[in-house]
Amino acid sequence: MISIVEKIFRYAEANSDKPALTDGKTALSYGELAERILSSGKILHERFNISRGDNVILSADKQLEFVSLYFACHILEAVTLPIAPDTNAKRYALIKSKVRPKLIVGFNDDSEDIMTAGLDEFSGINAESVNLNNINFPSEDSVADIIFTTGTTGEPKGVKLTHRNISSAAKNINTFIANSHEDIEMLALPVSHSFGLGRMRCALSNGQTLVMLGSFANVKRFFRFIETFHVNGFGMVPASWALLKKLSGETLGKYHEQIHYIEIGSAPMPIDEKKFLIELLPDTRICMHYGLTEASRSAFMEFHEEISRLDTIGRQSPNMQIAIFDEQGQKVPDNIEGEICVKGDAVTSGYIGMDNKAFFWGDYFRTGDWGFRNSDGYITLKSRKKELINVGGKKVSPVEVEEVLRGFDFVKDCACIAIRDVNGILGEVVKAFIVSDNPEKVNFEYLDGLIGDKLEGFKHPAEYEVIDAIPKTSSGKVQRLLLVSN
Amino acid sequence: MKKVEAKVKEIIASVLKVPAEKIQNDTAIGDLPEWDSLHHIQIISGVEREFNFRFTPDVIMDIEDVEDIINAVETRTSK
Repeated sequence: MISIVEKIFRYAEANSDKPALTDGKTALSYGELAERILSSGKILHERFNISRGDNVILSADKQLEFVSLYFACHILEAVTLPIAPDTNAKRYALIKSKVRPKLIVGFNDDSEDIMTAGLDEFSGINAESVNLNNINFPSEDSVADIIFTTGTTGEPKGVKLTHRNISSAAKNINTFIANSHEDIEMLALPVSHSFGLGRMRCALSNGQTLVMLGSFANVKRFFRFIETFHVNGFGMVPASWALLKKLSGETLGKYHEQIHYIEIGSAPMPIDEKKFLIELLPDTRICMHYGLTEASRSAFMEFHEEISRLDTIGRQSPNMQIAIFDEQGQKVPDNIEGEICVKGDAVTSGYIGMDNKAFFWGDYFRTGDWGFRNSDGYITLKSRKKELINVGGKKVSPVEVEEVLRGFDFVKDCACIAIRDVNGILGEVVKAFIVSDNPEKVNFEYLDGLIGDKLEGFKHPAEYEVIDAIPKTSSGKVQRLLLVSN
Repeated sequence: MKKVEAKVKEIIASVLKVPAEKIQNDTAIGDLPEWDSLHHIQIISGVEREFNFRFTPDVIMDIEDVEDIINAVETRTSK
């Protein structure tokens, strides 16, 4: 299994002039992308002494510099840690303390013991011409990325992904979607999250052209890019679709002959919306995945071909194996509920700095999700063990929000749960129940201002309610289900 | 800076929780990482509330950057 960066260079060698990516203003061919990667690698190595095994935190935004830097780290066999540019200060500090990076790129950071750089320091090209014989590509077992996910406790967990993991995942996904190197994909998802970063890897490892768009919210530009760049595929979360539909109605249907594929993931999608898309896009492969950062795209389904099973999460993806286990770690037969566990080359070896035994049954990764498989291999998801709130595909730990709220002196106790987004866009949003001796302060405007940048926007509660006491078990654990039912 | 322009930029900066000087006329939706789907809905609602009108779907479809929002507000409030 060769690494994604090696695939890019090999493709560039034979297809130097083929368009690789554009942000709408600047375009790079595969040859130019390879040069930029080498150039960024040269700066990383010569100016910052980055080499094999060093951790590099990158501000992950859809910029050409990010793409070349990400792969430049891989060329050096350094480890990339792509995190969102608007990551809150506490989470940023936690991530930094866990990985002790050698270099941080794209953040205002005044650390004295860690080197920092701006993304613009990597804009120029100063590499020699590309010669594959002079490049030592990374080995498949070295760690390529550490991706931080949201743990139930609110503390970020760093998922180790090797070059084999990410290259296998890209291959599996491209196989299921049936992508070809002629495809032109719009990337509007954030690259700081697994789904968007995964789409970037899939497209570039396959010789496709990637068109980067800031956000689905820019519907005018979204449709203009579809026309200008002849886009024929994209990835989206259900919230992206809800927003597109709200802002543009059925306009996407006008492009049903042009859009060959859509990948959907990161959050559940109502069956009515799946049926709506089937009608709107009769000629499009609409592929929805189930997966985690730890086990990318474990299951897949295509809406048209599997229209009678839209109530499931599909079947195991190519080259992935799913088994259902009981709580003692024994596989259970079909139609019996248990924990969904996954193995395959795309599955992580574990989290950094943690004892990983508890996360695996043998070589199967434990997802924490519950469900069953029927005799045809279709998997029904019943519940998620982890108490995370899924805001438009981004996961929020209620504990992290509660910790911030408890920092205000008038908040005596609190608990957060997921509620349905009344705007019909995000699926779930956060609701906070608050016990307070000063209840007039518990209102959206006041608390939202107080929270400010202590939490990223999607983690801010959308609703507050004052209650007399938070329901708890005798051991003090918050009983969120009681809050939901009330 | 005109009154409408200043108010629109103030609403956007407030929703995105970024310094006002980061909001320029040619700042496009999605240019700043904070300007995501969630915040876009809040910006549209905030502008509608402030200027007391509703954006129609065709106007929403025609908004690409801050200047487009300002123009849309000026067109509606001058009627």
